[in-house]
Amino acid sequence: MMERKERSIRAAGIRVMMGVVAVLLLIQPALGVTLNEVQKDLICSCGCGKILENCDCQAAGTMRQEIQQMIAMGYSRDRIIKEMQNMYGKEILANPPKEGFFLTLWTYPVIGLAAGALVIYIISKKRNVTWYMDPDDVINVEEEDFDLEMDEEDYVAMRAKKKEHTVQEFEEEDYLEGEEESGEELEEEFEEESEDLEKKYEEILKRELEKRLKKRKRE
Amino acid sequence: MDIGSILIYASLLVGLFSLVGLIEGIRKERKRDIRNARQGIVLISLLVTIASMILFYYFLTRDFNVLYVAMYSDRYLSTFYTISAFWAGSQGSMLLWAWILSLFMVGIVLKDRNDKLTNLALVFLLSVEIFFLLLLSSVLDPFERLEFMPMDGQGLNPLLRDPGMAFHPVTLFIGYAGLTIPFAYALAGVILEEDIWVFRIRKWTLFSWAFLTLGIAFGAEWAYTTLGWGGFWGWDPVENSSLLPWLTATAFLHSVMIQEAKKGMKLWNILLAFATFEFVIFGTFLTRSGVISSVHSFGQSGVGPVFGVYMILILLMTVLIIYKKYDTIRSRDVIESMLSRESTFLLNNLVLVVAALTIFWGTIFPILSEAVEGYKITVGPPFYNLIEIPLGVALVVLMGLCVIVGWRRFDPKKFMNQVKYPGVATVVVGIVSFIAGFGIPATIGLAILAFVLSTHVRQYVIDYREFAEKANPRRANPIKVVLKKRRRYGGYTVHLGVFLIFLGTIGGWMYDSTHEVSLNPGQAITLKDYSFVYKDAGFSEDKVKRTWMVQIDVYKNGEFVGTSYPKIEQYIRTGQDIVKVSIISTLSKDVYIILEGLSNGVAYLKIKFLPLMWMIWAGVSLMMVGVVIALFPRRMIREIVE
Repeated sequence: MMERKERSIRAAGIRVMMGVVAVLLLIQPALGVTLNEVQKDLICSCGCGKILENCDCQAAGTMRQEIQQMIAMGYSRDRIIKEMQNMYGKEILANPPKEGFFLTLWTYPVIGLAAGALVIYIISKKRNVTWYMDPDDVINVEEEDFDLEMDEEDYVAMRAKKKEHTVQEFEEEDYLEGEEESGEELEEEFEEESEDLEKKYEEILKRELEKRLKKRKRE
Repeated sequence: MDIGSILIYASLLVGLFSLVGLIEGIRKERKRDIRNARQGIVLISLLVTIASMILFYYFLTRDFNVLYVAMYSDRYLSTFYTISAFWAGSQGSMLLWAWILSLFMVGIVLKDRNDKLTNLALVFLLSVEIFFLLLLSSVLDPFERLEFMPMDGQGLNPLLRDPGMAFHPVTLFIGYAGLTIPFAYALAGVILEEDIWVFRIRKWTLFSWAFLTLGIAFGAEWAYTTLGWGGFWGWDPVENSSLLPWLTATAFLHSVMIQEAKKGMKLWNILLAFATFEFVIFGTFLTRSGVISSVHSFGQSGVGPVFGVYMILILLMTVLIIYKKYDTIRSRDVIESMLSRESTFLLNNLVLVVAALTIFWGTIFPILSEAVEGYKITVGPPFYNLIEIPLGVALVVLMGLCVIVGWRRFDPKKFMNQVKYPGVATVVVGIVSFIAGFGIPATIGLAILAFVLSTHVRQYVIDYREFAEKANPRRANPIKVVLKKRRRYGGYTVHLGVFLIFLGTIGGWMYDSTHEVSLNPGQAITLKDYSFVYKDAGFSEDKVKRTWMVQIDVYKNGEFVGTSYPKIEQYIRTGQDIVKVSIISTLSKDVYIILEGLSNGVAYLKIKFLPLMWMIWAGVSLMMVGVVIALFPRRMIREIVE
């Protein structure tokens, strides 16, 4: 009697389980694993190198059928992809997993961007700059007239002059004169001096260029 | 031995003699040696040109005794594709490379000033030429003859029988070979401690960059019309390898301006020129080695290791030169204020170089994964889209910003004033687009368009006013402003071209739709605003292929738009099926029809709607216009403007 009862309970349990599986099977496709979701993450196996969704060859057709069958069987997207990898090899995956060695693929761009941004930050902090010529105007100057060696000499001379007027020296001068200035004031003073020098330098360069242009025209 | 091979050997010999002569001439300042070596370069070019003509001749006369001709052509191949078969395989491609590079060298001999810098640059160019001549005279001999005369050749791969593929390799290789020049000049400049190289390479770099752009565009057009999946860019390894030098060369074109203006970024510019050259060699290597599977790898050969060793040698040589001359190329400071054109250029360089390095990383990752994990993983579009799309957006925003801010330092108040109207335009267009229901990607795209366009137009108005004030009122002319500041407006025109491509890409990638339909003869179907009427089906056969074709009339809202003829071609010899798509382009979208099958009169079609695709091709054309503006000869400008 007990045995019969147990058997019937077990049978009912199995029936319920089957029912649940059947419902899940019916629901699963409706839950949304579509062919497109799967085939955009796989490469066609024919060797063409295309993403499966973009390939119309026979091998692609077969692969699509297999995916459709697995969708009908209620497989999840991950399981279908795993099954396809088992069938066609690991190379079939279009999107490397984000784990183990493959994680380096995804982290590298972030590291590159961060490192680059850091370099730009460091560059932007250094401001001992000299202006030579507007790139829009450079192309209007003949190479013969644009002797960089001359620039180089002038540049060295100007740097030497500039060196005499570093912020530190301003501080010393002020200290000797008994004046006290804030850091901002000193920087402003320094910038003004630098600008004056650069303006002077630009004038020298322009004069030199004009002279040469005139000379060329005469020739 | 074939006459062509003899010519290659002769040019190799002349090359070696010229190289030694040039080095000795520069070292000992012997003018005669230098003159002879320069003449030797012209002779190499002549010999390689004749060798190339001979290969064309073999193709056109169907001399199948030549192995290369037999491999890539047959008796029925049309004259147009017979000519393009020249570069269908590795041997011909390398000959094309060597030929174009030799012509560039002649250009330098004729156009650039005959001084130490140019001659030393020629040493490096000549050594690259010798590398290719060595390949051509050993493992990649295009003139190798068979011991018998085959009745017919194997024929050209049907996928290469497309006008885009006929122009793509030539334009790409002009770009590749030309981008050797900045690298050669950079090395020469470092060794001689001369900065003038940045001025001298401008025309060569721009010219080569333009051809590389065209080459990439022809490749994209080929992928779009021939591969039949409705896309123009699939992040395929070979596609990527052509984009790599383009990205670094673009960064170089910008950062070189900082060196001109401030003598800064010297080391960086050398590294960019070096990276561009290495990527050029990498591109050639990847296409021809077959080391990574690709839809574009045609005519593979076993030259991969040779290219690998060459790339390592170039790397070692560059590192050594930089190390020896580090003190002279140490960069000077470049930034006066974060609100300056220089800083936007630095950011643009960051974006472009990070884009290049990540694409390079993704492209070589399969090789690394094979070494570490034991199998080649494929890095597909999801990876690239995730990384490159945000970088692309950042780049176009920077294009708008760099126009507003001037060189050196820019007053924040002035900046706010300048950005006021473009900002308003951006917000208004963004809101209108959103309300109109264009979706998030298009809204962002159109808002950025408003920003970029308004900043560019605004700058033009400012420049024109300034020009008109200074110039004689009768001589002030809107075109003269562009010509006078042609570097600026050439660049701006290129920016607008890039922006059109950006919009076309948003349309094609984010708003495409695909419909699979089957139609009986006479049946019609309506998809979106379009109706498709299946009129007729046809079959034809010739000696080369069998063709199945259907005629589809396309209507938009009842109005006739055009007739589409999608086809399937089956090549008899190889049995290869090629889908020939039919594209009807309209202003709003491309109607892209693929015939997938034809059975008992029933046509199985895939119909794709790809919005704004014309913008991509128009964008490339606009970029070329920009380059032409930027390359306008100085002397001509003087006559027109002054």
